[in-house]
Amino acid sequence: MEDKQLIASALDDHRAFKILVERYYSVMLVVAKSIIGDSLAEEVVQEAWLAAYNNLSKFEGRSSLKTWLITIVSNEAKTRLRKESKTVSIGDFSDDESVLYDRFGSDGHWSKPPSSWHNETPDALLSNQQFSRCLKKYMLKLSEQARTALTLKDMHGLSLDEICNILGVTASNVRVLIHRSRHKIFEHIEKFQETGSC
Amino acid sequence: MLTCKNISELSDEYLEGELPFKKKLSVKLHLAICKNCRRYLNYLQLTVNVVRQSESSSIDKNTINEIMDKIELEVQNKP
Repeated sequence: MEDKQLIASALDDHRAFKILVERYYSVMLVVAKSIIGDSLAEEVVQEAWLAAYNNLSKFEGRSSLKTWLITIVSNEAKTRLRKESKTVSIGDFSDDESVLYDRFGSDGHWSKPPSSWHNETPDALLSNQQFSRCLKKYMLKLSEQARTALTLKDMHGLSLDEICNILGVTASNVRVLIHRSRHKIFEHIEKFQETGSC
Repeated sequence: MLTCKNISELSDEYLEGELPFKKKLSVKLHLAICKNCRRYLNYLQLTVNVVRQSESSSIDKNTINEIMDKIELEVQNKP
């Protein structure tokens, strides 16, 4: 069922609201974690859902429901962050680490080109349990901020602008985070294809 | 003429379809003659698709029920 239909009945029918919670809980948790850290994120998401329920009648549909919910959880997390006087370190852009660039010669051409992969579809890779375990490890190897940017972009389909607002960084920084993260995962997958292990 | 390193630098924007026409054409010209870059972009797209299709951590049913319980409580306490 589409969001629009669910929103229309959600205030009177809690089953409809529950479907929305199930649909958007994950992305909200990623956003909350990126702002306030793991320990308080679930609590913040709960508060955000309560706020969403109380304000649902005011939702006019000018943005998508997903964007509206992300704004709510983002504001909740930032308010909570101020209350807790916590600081979140932003250190991912301080170095000029260049992923993959050691694989090019001084003429700009490949010195170590990509190897041929055995599994050439996502389904073939993801149906391999060993690979699925490895992928979780690869994601955890990324910095919190890089993982958040990649997850929001590639798993949840958020726009660069939305990710900038959530992380409080510039668009070019978000591009760098996503570029590096994708290439790190790329190199891990390449290694998995060659060796069959993480 | 773009180098392979340039292709890597432009890879995200190319895959997202965000490159301006002339830049996109330069990438396509390079790809027409460079097997390694064709393979690289195919596998980078595969990487994006793998992340896209991978399961995000499954949601605990209790967590959802807890949220719904709080909402029920809120509704009951409303005058």
